[in-house]
Amino acid sequence: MSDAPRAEATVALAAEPAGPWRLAWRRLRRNRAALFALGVLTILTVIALGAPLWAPYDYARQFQGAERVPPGWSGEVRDAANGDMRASRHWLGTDDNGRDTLSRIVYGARVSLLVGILATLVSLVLGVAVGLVAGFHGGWLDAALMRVTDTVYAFPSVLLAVAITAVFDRPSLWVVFLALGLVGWTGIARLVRSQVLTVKTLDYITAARAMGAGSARILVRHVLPNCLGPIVVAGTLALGGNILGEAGLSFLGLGVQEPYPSWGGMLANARQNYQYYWWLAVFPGAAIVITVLAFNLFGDGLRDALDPRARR
Amino acid sequence: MATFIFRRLLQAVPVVLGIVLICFVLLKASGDPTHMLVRQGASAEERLMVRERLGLNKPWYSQLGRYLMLDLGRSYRQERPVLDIVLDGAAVTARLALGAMIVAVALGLLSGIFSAYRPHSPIDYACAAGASIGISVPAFFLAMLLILIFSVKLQWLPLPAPEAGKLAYLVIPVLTLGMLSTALIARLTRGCLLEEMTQDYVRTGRAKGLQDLKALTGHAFPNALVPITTVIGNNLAGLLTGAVLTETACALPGLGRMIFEAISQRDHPVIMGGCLFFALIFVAVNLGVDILYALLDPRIRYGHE
Repeated sequence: MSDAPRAEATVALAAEPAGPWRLAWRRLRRNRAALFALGVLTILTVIALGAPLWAPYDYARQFQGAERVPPGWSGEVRDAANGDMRASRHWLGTDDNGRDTLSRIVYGARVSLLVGILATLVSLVLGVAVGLVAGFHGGWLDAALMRVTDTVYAFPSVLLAVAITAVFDRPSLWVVFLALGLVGWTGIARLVRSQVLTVKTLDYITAARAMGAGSARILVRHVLPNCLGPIVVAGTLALGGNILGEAGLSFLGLGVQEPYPSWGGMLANARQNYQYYWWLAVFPGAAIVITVLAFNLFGDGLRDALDPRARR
Repeated sequence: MATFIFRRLLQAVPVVLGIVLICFVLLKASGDPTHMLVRQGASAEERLMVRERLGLNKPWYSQLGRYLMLDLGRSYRQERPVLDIVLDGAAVTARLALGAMIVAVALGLLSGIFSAYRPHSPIDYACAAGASIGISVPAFFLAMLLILIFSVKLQWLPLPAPEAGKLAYLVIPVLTLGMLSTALIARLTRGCLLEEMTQDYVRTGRAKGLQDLKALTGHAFPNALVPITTVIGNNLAGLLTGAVLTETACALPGLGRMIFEAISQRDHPVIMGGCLFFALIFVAVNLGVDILYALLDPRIRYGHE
């Protein structure tokens, strides 16, 4: 007698439909490129977090007599501290100052990921706020906000970021992510606005309003969750874009300052001599490409998983 | 059509004003440029003279008003009118941008059509991989890579140079600058074509014996052109961003490089002139795209009249 309700419950459990996020995860798991990218991103995060553990040497340490040595070089160098001869090995060679390229790339991962994530957060907050308000309120506010968005969008992003960094006296990590974040929100604002415009005509919004929910509550509890998929996708793709942007600003000399390494800064240093010593440019450049590619592939995978209609 | 163009022009005005305003505010926020222009330990009188000569003693609205009258003034650093400097830089960048656009449209459309002709074939996957890498490579790194491979190792192409009568000098910068747009156009073309191919009119055509390639190029392609045109127009801001990095990596004295240098030297008139010039170009190109758009899609034209 007590068995009957339990059996019923089991059936109900088995038949419970999977939520949209679970379905998306199932689709994502079948996408080999996206999974591979996720793996690469996990490894990158581990590298960045534990940089002192993985880097063979300190990022600022200069090996005298081992300047611009090729990848895989090993030999004896004089220790700058006490003048002893020491054996050293440089898997990816050294730069103009005799600093180990591998160590600098490992530490540089910290800058890239940190700036990428923080800049994306700034863009997301700004873009979501502008998009939600413009789309939901409509009318003059929508028109005004969209004109502002158009204007910022029309700017070449690097120049605007350069101008913002010029306002501050000294370039630093904080200035860079703020500048990138303040430049990058326009795409997200447009996306959120268009999502809101479709969502707000749906019946359940009318129902919520009929039940007496205020605008703020409807926006946050009903409209926002239904725009979340595209926002997550845009955020992931923006991460890759912001890492590219950080590399670009660093390449122009506006990023994190020496001796702390950033991948773009390493390429800027390489500009003098890379034609004779290829490894100065190739390894930091490859690090940028791999990281950005991983974010883009994962973002594409997420889009396919979250929006089945976009699938072929 | 005339009303349509007029409306578009009106909408462009706030964007141009906005760009000028943002530039102006940022410049004012970055402080007084005089201290970078006078020698160390200059007297207060000297500073005042410099400020007077540069017009910095005037109230802010008259300084801003001058730009709105399209009076660009003279550079703080170089004894030349800003207009000359801007036009010199624009001549270099225009060549790069034009070349990049041609490369991007040709390669992007071709690769998109190939991919859509045989989706999920090895060619399609190769194009998709190429496009993914294309949007992930920083322009400056690509330029260095191309120089390493084609100028240094294989010696097929000369190093990029500013005074270049020959096209060979521009091949690397143009490819670098065009890469991102190529990748974007290729992706979009493939997507749009595949979507059009599922439409009823294509199915009808096929049922009547239309060949795959003909259905693709003759029927789906013209309809896919509308979104593709928009993206090409939207790419312009990205193109100038790319120009700063490409010109830096290839040591070319273009508009992007020039504005960047002006920003780091606090040469305010050149920055304002460069931004104003760019804003006008941007608006003009977008207007051109909109008109093209209306020509391609009669619905847009009639919807507005």
